Amino acid sequence: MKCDLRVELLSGYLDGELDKKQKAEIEKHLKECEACRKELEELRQLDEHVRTAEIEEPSREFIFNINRRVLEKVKKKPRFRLFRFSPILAPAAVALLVFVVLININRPVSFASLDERILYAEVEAKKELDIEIPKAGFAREEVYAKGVVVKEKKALTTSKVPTMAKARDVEVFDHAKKGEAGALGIEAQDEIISLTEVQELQIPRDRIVRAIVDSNGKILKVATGNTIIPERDTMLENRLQGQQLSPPLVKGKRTQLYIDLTQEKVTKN
Amino acid sequence: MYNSIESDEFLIERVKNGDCESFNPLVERYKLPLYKIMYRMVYNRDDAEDLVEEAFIKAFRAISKFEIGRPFYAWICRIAVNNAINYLKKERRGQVQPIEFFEHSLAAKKGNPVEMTKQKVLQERITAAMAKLPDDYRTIIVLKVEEDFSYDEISKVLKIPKGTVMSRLARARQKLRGIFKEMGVQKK
Repeated sequence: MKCDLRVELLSGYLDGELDKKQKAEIEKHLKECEACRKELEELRQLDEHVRTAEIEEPSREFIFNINRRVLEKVKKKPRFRLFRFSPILAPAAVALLVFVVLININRPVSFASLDERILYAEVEAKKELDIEIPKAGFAREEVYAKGVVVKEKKALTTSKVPTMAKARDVEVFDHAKKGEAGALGIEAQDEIISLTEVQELQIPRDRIVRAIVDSNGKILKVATGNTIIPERDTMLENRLQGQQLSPPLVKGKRTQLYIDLTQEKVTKN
Repeated sequence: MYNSIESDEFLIERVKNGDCESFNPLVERYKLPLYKIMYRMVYNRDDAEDLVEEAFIKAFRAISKFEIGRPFYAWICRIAVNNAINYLKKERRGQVQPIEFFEHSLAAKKGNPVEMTKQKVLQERITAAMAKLPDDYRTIIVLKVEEDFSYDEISKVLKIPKGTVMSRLARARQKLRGIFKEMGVQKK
């Protein structure tokens, strides 16, 4: 005869886990129900079988050496594992990566990646950063609004040498003496260097023109456009690349510089 | 050196104070009982030995959290069982299940009954039947039937409600009974 007593109760009774009331009910039921008595006996038998299940003997290595192995391992300090912090570090790294990508997404790669030493002169000028022009003995007579010297002057160490100028006062030199360009910043130099007017560079007047000039004054990259951040102009760059200007000095050190060569506002004087 | 007379509490106190060697007698005392549980859970000697070792190492590193006065064996059992449960969940995927080993073993011996006593055959069949149980059923049966943990203790180790312990244990017993019948495990 099949009984509808819940099997959990019989199992719980066998384990002695029922409360007093349940226990009393089960005991009463067991007296009346032969099927449940038989079921309970089978469960007891099953538990006994489980306890007699075979166990493979542990190895001699385990029996004799586990103490030593455990001690050896616990005496070593646990290694620092970076991956333990991966739940925190991984999302942070992803966020940082996304941030870096987002802030660079609209930036012209050619300018951003050219050289870490690039100084954005226009921005720095607002901070009144002093930029020293080369001590090549040139007296500046005209300065463009955007800061490009135009007048030619043949001289070496004159008393008129302006040692400090604002960021916008970036001089433009002729490229005829490229060979000596590297020595422009040296005071003892005795070469005569002629300056050319900036117009000789034939920079278009209808748009913003900016260039990256290396620490020796050589034009490296050129960008043009009518936006705040001009885009690289390979055609103009091919023409101007390698033109020798004066090596820009910032706080007495030669440095690569991002200068403005825009001609449309060259109206001063 | 320490001998078996030293109480668990004394030894643990020493370990807590930085005496690593005091952990030795505890390992000596509990390595075999723990091996037995681990073996019943994973049915593989090498894995069981590794799990015992890991349990001792974890216990040592967490010894500062152990409250003196509570039973050390129950505490380390909990560490070992949890570790073994994680092992079963992660490491066993894709590996040969222990039952295959036992079935092979039984098949090999079927043809040569003379070598085995009746009792030995019965034991092997029971072991094979246990290995056939799903991991969660086998774990709960090992904890209750072999180790005589209370439902409360099992509930804490397995992180399941007490009511679930009761129902899972009943289902595990029913399942095992079915397997016993299939495999011809007779009453004693």
